[in-house]
Amino acid sequence: MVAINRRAILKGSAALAGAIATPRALSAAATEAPRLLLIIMRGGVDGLSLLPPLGDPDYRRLRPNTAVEDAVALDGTFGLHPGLKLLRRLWDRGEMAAVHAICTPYRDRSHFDAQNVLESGLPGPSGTATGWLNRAIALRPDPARLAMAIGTSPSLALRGPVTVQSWAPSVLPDAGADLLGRLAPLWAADPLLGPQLRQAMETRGLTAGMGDMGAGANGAGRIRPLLDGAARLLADPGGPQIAVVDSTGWDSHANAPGLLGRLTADLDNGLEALIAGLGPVWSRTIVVMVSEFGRAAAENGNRGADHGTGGMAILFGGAVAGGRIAGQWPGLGTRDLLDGRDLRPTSDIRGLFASLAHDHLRFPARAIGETILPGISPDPAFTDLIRA
Amino acid sequence: MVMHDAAVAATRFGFGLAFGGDDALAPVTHNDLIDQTRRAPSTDHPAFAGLRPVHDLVREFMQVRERGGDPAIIELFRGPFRQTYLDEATARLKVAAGSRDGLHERLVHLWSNHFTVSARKPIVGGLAGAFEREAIRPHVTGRFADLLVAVVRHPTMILYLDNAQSFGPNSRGGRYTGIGMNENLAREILELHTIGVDGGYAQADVAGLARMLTGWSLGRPGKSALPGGFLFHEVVHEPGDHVLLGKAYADEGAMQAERALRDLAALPQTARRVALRLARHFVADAPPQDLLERLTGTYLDTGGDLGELTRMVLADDRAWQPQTKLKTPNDLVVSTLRALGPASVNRGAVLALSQLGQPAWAAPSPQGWADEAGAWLSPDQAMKRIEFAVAIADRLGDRVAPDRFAGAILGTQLRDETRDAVGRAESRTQGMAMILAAPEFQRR
Repeated sequence: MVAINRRAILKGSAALAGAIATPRALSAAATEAPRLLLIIMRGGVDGLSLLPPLGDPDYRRLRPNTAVEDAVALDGTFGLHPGLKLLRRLWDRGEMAAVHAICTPYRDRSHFDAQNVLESGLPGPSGTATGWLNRAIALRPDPARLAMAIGTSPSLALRGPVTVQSWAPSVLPDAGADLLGRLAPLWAADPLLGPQLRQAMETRGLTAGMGDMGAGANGAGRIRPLLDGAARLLADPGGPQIAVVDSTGWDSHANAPGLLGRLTADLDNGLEALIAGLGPVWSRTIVVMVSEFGRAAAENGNRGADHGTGGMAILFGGAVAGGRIAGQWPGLGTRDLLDGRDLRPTSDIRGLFASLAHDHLRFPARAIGETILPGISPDPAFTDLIRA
Repeated sequence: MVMHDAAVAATRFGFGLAFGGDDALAPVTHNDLIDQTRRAPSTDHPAFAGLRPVHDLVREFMQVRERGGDPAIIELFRGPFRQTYLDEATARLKVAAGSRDGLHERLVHLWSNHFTVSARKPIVGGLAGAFEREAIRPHVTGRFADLLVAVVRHPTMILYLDNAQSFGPNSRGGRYTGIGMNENLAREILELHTIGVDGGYAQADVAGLARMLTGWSLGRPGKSALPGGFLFHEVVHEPGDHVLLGKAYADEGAMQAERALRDLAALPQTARRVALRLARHFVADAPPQDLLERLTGTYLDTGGDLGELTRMVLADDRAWQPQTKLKTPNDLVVSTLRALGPASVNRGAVLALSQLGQPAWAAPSPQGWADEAGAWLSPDQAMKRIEFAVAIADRLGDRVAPDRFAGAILGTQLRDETRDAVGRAESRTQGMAMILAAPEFQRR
């Protein structure tokens, strides 16, 4: 009995030592691989405030109290929310682009189902869905190393057959290699828990020294430690090529100007750390910010807007051919709106994901249409937003 | 018939076994559990002493706001409300870790999560504890309809989902101020609290219920009998009949929406979702279909009697299969504190919940926290659970003998491999960390 257990512990320790060594020993090709960071803005971002259509004659009629008048003009029609200062600078450098009136195929305005569709990349919500990015990396060798969830619990986009690594800022004490070596064989016997600890021990080599990065679990500045960590991991030659971060709180039902002012300032603060940290891989990086839906075109009685449909996506990074807004603008006239209330979607967000998978991550179109985003092809409207 | 094992009784239906000779925390029997389903949880636990009722907190908030009239008021209140949040969250942990009625505490956490209010909205942080004590606790073994009405009337929910600002556009108040409707509360009642997103409602039903709920608001200081408490504010109520799911509700003031809520509670779609909540929590992530059907039937036969449904779960052998559920971070922290005794509860325990990703009353959205293992499985979660065990063990030092501790808190769930590995630990502290991090302590 004792002998068997001791052998199991030795095996656990050897696996740990090997795992720490390997991430550094990747091929040069892996270090030149493209990087993709997906930021999921939960709550339904108001695209009409972040990228206000100042040139649309109906905008101020629909938003008499909440139109973003101090937006910075991007082109003849659209502006950028004044809180997003760094994005404005990237726009000027041709490294930021946006897509307007984009949405998932889901139309029923529930946050949770819409997020399920956004992250699964499937036509409708499903309780058993896997994430589109998980299905993508599953097609590549050694998939668990390719992607990483940033945050304590992984987003659906990264859940599925491949157990991906995850990382979150922590101020808890380090467990220590000796204790982990003793626990590893106990956890290995548990089919649910075992794989998680094995992955975690492999990640340890990568994230050593990143434990105490000042997480504010509650309140302001929530996004910065996450984006700072994501940048360091993506910039590490042995780190992941794909990462997903959640940005929460965008459900602007009431007092939207104040709420969006705080959230954009928080995001801008986080983007500063992100852009600085991505330095060595910046030229190969695309960061894409999406949300489950947009908000109703007209403001409600509380200086907010209720759940809507057509929304926006923002792309930035050294691999973005930016300085332009893609997608067809449907207009805000009464007859242009979906169900008489929402910005009408003119493109499917899965087409944008397919373009990123094809033109940036270099997945074959066939694998995309069959497995990653079933039935979807790269959307030609987005191809020229990505630098080849 | 399976054995009603003491370790399963304590960990599946409560927050676990305790170490040490405290009689109040002696293992519960099957009969103790049945007894708890026949009465409501106590609301005067000593740990609740000194906590303020919601109307008191809201009234103070409103008085300061009326004096200042400044939108920065939330900032002003962040300090005191943060203090109230910490006091409330500490009291909640003390009660869950120290009450003999563990099933009651588990039911309170379960239904509080079903009807999530979240401190992600700053004002809710200070009011969430009062919400749980006042709207949830008295009703978890009563009728679901009473629980629902108590929740929707509670000032914390009214503030969380913006109903105090929802004015009927044709009401006198709406016409005078130009403030319109906000359908947030109505939508979440349908989507999350009652019939569910697949329950067969449309946008018009959301709007209909929102119209009925206009006027469900809070009393203003100097203008009502209970400032800060629930008040039906007739002057902003949208007049007329309103329709929900094909049925017209006559304008009877606050009774209009209350009748609609009680009708929603009586629907089979709601029955199925309540059945799933209970079965998923006490049996397995994917509970057996036949049990769900029987629970749904009992719900409809008994007018939604939650005590009766809980007894039906207790009577099912499958609820007594050990170790089928992964502990959530909240389960893990509370069961660790319970194992060590309620005296171990302090502010650090409240912060540990945040570190593990499940801060008290701070779910990311009104959907609340997931009750399935998948949502709580990640390599980072795994490492944080082990680090939490290390933090607790470091604090205990060598005061506790690991072998006795393991036997007391895991009972029949302790595996030989864990016992052997703990026996070989390099120190008592490491042995304690191994027990608290052992896979059988991560499950319930």
